[in-house]
Amino acid sequence: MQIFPRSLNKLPLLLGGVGTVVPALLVGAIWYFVTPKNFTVGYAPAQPVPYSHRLHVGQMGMDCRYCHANVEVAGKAMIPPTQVCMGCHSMVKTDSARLAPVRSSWESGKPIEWVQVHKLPDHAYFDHSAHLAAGVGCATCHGRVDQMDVVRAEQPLGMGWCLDCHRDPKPNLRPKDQITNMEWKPEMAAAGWTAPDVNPPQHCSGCHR
Amino acid sequence: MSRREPHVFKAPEDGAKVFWKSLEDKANPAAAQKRAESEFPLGLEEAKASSIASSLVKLRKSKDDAKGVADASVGRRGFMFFAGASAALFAEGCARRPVEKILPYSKAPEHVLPGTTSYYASVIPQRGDALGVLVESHEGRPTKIEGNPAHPSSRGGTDAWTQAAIYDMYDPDRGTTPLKGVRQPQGGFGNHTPATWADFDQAFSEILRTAQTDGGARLRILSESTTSPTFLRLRDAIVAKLPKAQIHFWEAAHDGNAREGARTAFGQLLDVVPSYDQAKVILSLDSDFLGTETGSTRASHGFAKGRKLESSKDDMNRLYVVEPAFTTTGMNADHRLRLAAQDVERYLLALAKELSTSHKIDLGGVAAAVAKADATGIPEKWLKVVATELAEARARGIIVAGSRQPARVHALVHALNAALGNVGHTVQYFPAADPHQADPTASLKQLAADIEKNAVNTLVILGGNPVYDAPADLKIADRIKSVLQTVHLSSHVNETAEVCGWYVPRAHVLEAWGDHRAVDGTVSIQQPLIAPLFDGRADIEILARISGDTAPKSFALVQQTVKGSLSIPASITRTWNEALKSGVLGPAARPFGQLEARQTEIAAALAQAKPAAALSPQSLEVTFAPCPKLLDGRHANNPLLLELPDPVTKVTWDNVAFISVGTAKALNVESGRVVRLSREGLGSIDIPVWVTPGQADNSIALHLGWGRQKAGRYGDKHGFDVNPIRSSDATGFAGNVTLRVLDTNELDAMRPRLRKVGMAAGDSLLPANVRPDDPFEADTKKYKISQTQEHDTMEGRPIAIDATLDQYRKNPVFPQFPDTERKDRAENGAAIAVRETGSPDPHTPPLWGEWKEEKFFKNNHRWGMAFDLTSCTGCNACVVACQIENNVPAVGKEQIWRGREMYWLRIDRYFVGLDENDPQIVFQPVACVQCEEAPCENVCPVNATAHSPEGLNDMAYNRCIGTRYCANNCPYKVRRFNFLNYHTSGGFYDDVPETEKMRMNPNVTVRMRGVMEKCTYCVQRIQEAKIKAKREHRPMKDGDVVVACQQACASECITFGDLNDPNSKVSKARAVDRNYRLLSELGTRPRTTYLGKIRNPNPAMGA
Repeated sequence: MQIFPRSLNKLPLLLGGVGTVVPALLVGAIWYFVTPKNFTVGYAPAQPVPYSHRLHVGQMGMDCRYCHANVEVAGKAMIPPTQVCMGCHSMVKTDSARLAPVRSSWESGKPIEWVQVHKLPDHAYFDHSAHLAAGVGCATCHGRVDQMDVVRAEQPLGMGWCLDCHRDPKPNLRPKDQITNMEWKPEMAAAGWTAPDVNPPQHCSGCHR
Repeated sequence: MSRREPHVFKAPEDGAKVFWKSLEDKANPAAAQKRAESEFPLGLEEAKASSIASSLVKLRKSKDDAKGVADASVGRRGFMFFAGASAALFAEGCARRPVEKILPYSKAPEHVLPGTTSYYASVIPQRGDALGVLVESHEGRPTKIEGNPAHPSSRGGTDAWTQAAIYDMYDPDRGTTPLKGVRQPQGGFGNHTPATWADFDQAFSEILRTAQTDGGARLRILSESTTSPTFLRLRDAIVAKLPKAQIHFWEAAHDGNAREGARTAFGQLLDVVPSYDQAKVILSLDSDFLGTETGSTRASHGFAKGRKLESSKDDMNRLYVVEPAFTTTGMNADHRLRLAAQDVERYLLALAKELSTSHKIDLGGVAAAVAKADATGIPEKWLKVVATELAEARARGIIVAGSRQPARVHALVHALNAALGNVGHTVQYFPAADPHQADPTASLKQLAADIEKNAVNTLVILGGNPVYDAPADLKIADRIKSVLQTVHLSSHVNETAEVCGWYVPRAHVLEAWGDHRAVDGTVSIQQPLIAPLFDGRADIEILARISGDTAPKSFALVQQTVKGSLSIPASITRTWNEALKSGVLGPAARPFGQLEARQTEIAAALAQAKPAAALSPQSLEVTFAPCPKLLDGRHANNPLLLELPDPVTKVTWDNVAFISVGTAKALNVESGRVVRLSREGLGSIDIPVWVTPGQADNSIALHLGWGRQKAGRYGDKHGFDVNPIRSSDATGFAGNVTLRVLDTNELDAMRPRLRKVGMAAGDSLLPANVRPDDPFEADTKKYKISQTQEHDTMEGRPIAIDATLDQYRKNPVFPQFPDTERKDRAENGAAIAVRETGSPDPHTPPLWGEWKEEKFFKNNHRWGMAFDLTSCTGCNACVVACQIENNVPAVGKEQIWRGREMYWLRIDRYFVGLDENDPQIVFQPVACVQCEEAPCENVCPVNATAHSPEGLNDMAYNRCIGTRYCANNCPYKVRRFNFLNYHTSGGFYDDVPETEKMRMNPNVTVRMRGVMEKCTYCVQRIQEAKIKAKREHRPMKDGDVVVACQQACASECITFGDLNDPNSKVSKARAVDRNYRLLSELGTRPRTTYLGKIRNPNPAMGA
C-alpha cells in the first residue's frame, strides 16, 4: 500500500540540501553580523554632555592623562570626575547651555551619567597600566580620539583581536613618551628604536580571573 | 497553502484502530476535538492585551466564526506574525547594544583611585584583647581584613572570626533604625515601632535627666568587656559626674577567672600573656590557646615559631594538653590526657605536689595545701614525666590554664609559673587595662541582684546580648524586663532588644572610630572604613551622652583621648597620622619582671574548693566553651561561620554535644540522637549528641552561641541553645547533669524551634518533594547533621604523613619513601592493612614529557606553594580568608548534606591510631594543588581549564559548560561545582541584598550556576603584583605576591612564591627533606607540596 506519493522522492535530497545551506547561511550571518567587528566598531552613543575630544584634545592639545588620570597607575582609566571639568569650566564658558549638566552635577554632587563606549564583558579584567607600561599607545585601541566629536569605538575589542596583538605585540608598541601622541606613526620612531620584549599573557588567567 | 483540517477524533468502533495523543484524549474524544481546534490555548494569553493581538483575533474570528473557534486563540497566522516580529525585533535589538553607564565622582575624594585597592590600618577588639588589622578597601567598600604585621597581637595573622567580620558588617539583618518599645503588661517592652535618632536623643535626655537624680544611684550601664581607653575615660567621667552610678561588664566567654586568679596570686589584676615562642615545654590545662581562648592569633604565631623545623637538626617545643574535649589545641598536642574539666584541678594539685616533693620546687605555703592532692584516675607518668620536664625546663617551660577553670586553679598556675622561674621569660604579666573589670560573671551577678532589690530604674546595655547568653540562674530576661527604662545598643534586633524600651543600631567596628588596647598594652586606633551602613552609632558615643556630651562624635572622642595621653598635646596631628598609618599608637606596656606569689592567699583559695561529686553516666559533667565559629553567639547570622566545619567533628550549621565512645555505649546513645541534659533546679536543654573520639568519659562538651531565634535570616533556629543549663557559679563546667533520650512526642515539640530547610539564603530552590522538611530522620528519628567530612581515615594511603621527631631524625625523607610502618585505625577490632608512610614517586612518565618544562616553566615564574603540616594548627582562618577573597558562597545545611560544599580550601582531619578513645589527629589543608600534569585539563570538552605558562591551572568560568568531568578526574577532589545559584535564593540576583553585593571582591568573578571553580592561587593577586612590577619596571621579588590563605595564617605555615627563584621562601621550603607531594604516585606533579607533620612525643611517656 502506497502511503507516500512519488513526488516525495525528492524530499530527502531537498531537505539535505536546504539543511546544509540554510544553517550555513545562518551561521555565516551571525558570524559576520554579531561578532565584535561589526557589533562594536562604529558604536558612538549619544552622551549626556556633548563633550568634544576634537576640541579639547585635537585643537587645544590637552593630554589624555589630564582627565583620564588613572591610566598609568591603575587598571581602570577613569572617566574624569566633574571636578576635573569644573577646573576650567568654573572660569571658561560658565554660562554655556551645553555645560549645564556639568554644572548641575557639580552643585548637586550627583555624577554625570556617561555612556560607556569601550566595554569589555565582566569576566574580562583589563588593566590599562600594564599596557601603558608596555608601550601601547592610546590611539592603537581607541583610534584617533582627537578627531572625534563623539567618541566612537574604532576597534572590535574582542578576545581574538586582543590575542592578535598579544601574540605579536611589537608592531603595536611605541616609545613610552609617545603613548598619548595620537599622530604617532611607526616611521616617526627615532632611528634604532626597537620595540621592547614585552611578555603579554596569552593564557586564560592573564585576563580572566 | 491549504488549510488542514484539525485532527478529528472518531469514537472507537469495535475492533477499529484508534490513534490518540494522550489518555485524556482517549477518554474524552469530544473535548479533545475542541482542544485541538484551538492550537495555542495557552501561552499567548498575554498577547490579548496588545492591540495588535486583538485585531488579529478579530480577523480570525471573522473568518472562523462559523466554526466557533475560541476567543483566546490567535491562530497560526497570528503566531507567524509574532514569531516574525519578535525575530525582527530581536535582530534590531541586538544591533543596538544595551546601554552601560559609567558614573564617575562629582567631587572626587582624595587618594581614591577607582579600580585600585587601598589598605587602612585598624584594630578589632577581642574580649579583652585587641587584634591589629589592615583592611582592604575598594572605592570606599571594605572587602577583606588582614592581619597587621606591625601589631604584636597579630604579626600579620588573623583568626577565622576576624576574617569573617566583614560579613558581619554587611549583614543584611542588622538593625537599621532606632526602635521604640511599648511597655507590656507582663513586663518589659514590646511592639517596637521605628523611630528616628532625633526621637531617641530626646527620649534619652529625658531618661538621663531622671537617672541623674541622687548621683545616678539608680542608673546602671552594662557593656561587653572592653579595654578601650576612650571607653574607660568616659566611664571615669561618668563616675565622676554620677558617683553612685555603676558600670557592669558581661561577656559569655571571658577571662575573668584568669584575672581573679592573678589577683589572688599577686595581689593585683593582671593580664597573662604567654610567650609560646620562648617555651620548650608547654602544659595546657584545659586551655584552648590555639583556638578559642583570647589571644589565639598571638599564641599560634608564637607556638608555631617554637615548632618550626627547617631540618632534622632543629629542636621543637613539646605540648602537653589536659582537656575534656578535643579542641584545636588538643589536636596539636604531642601528648594529650583526656580528663573531665572538674578533674583538671585535681591533676594540677597532684602535679604541684610532684613538683614540690620530687623536684624541690619551692611552693612555700602552697605546698601544704597541695600535699593532700588526690591523684586517682590520673596516669602516673602524666605526673612524673610532666613534672620532670617542667622542672628541667626552668624559664623555658610554661603552664597555662583555660578560661573556664576556676580562679583558684589560675592562682596555683601563676604560683607554679613563678616558682619555676617562667615569669618574665615564657609568660609575661601586664597590668590589666581596667582595674574595675575583674570578673564579668560577678559583675553581672551584682547587676542582677541590684535589679532584684529594685535599686535600678535605668539600664543602658551597650552591645552584647545578655538575655540570650547570661547564665540561666540570674534570670536576666526577667530582671531586664522589670527595669523601668532600658536601652539596648546592638548590631541586630536580638533577644535583648526585643524586651528593651529602646533599641538603637550599633555601628560596626569597621564603621566607627575607637581605640583598643591589646593585652600587652599596645594601643591602636580603630579607624572606620565606611560610613555606618545602617546609621549606627558607636558605644562610646552613647557613653559620652551619658557623661554629658550633647552631640558626641566618635572621632572627636578618640582624638580627645589621644591628646590627653600625649606629653605634647600639640603633636596630636603627627602622632595621630602616624598611628593610623602603622596601626599602632603606643608601644606595649612594660611587663612585670618578677612577681612574688602570695602563697597564703593561694592556699586559702585552694582550701575553699569543694570536692566534686564523682562522675558517672548517671551524673555527668557538661563543659561550656565558646564555639570555634560563632563564639558566644555574636556571629550567629554569619553564613560563613555557620557553615565553617567544626575543627574536630566537621559538623556544619549545627552544634552538637560531644560525648565519648565509652559514655555513649554506657548510655546507649549514638551520634545524632537527641537527648535532654538536665540540671536540677536550673533547667534542661535538648541537643543531639555526637560521639567524638578523644572526649573525656562522663563529660559532655557543649558549644555556646547556637539555637538563637532572633539572629537573622541565616542563623535563626540553627543549633541548640545551651545557656539554660549554664549557671553563674559554674559558667565553665558543671556536674550533676543527667541525660535522657527524648521520645517522639518530645521531638515533635522541638520542631518549631528548628529550621525546616537549611539553605543559606532561602528555601525555594528545590521542589517540595526533595526538600528535607523534617529535621529528623524518618526511620531512626536522629537529628540530621551535615558534616563536610564523614570519613575519618586515610584508608591506608599516604596522605597526611606524620612522624615523631625521632623518626624524622632517623629518616629525614620519611614522607617520600615507604620506610616505617604505621597501623591505621582499626575497624571492627581487626587492624587494617599496614599503610606506607611514604608517598612514592610515580611509575608513569609525564604525559607531556619535558615539552612544557622547556617551553614554558623554565622561562616564566614558576608558582608554587608549600603547606607546613607541623606549623598548621587547624584553626580554619585560611578557609574563611579564601572564601572572602574569592567570593565563594556559603551553600546552606541541605547542600552540605548533599556534599556540595564550596570551600576552595578545606582542612581534612584524620584520626590516627588504634585507640578510639585516645586517637591522634592529623589535619591537612587541601586546595587545588595546580598539577603540572593535571588530569582535569585533558578532559574538559571546551578547554575551560587550561594550563598557564607559569604553572597555574587556569579556570575560565565563562567557557565552562558544567560537564563536571574535570571534578570527576581530580584525584584530590578539590574542584567545586556551582550546582545552584548559591549567591541568590533562586532568582537571577534580584534578591541578593545590596550589602551582600557590596562585600564581593571586585577583582574576582562571581560565579553563576553551572560553572566549576577551584583554588586559583589567588590569580588576581598574582596579576596585581605582576602588573605593579611592570608599572614600576622592575622584576618581581619574593614576597610581592601574598595569597589569601598565606596572609591569614597566624602560624605562617603556608609559603607561596616563585620556584624559579632559588632564594624564595617556597624554594627553601621545597628543599626541606620532609617535603612531599600529595598522591605523587599518580604522576600529577603538583605545585603545592606538603611538609610532613612532626610530633615531638616524649619517649618517657611511652607510646
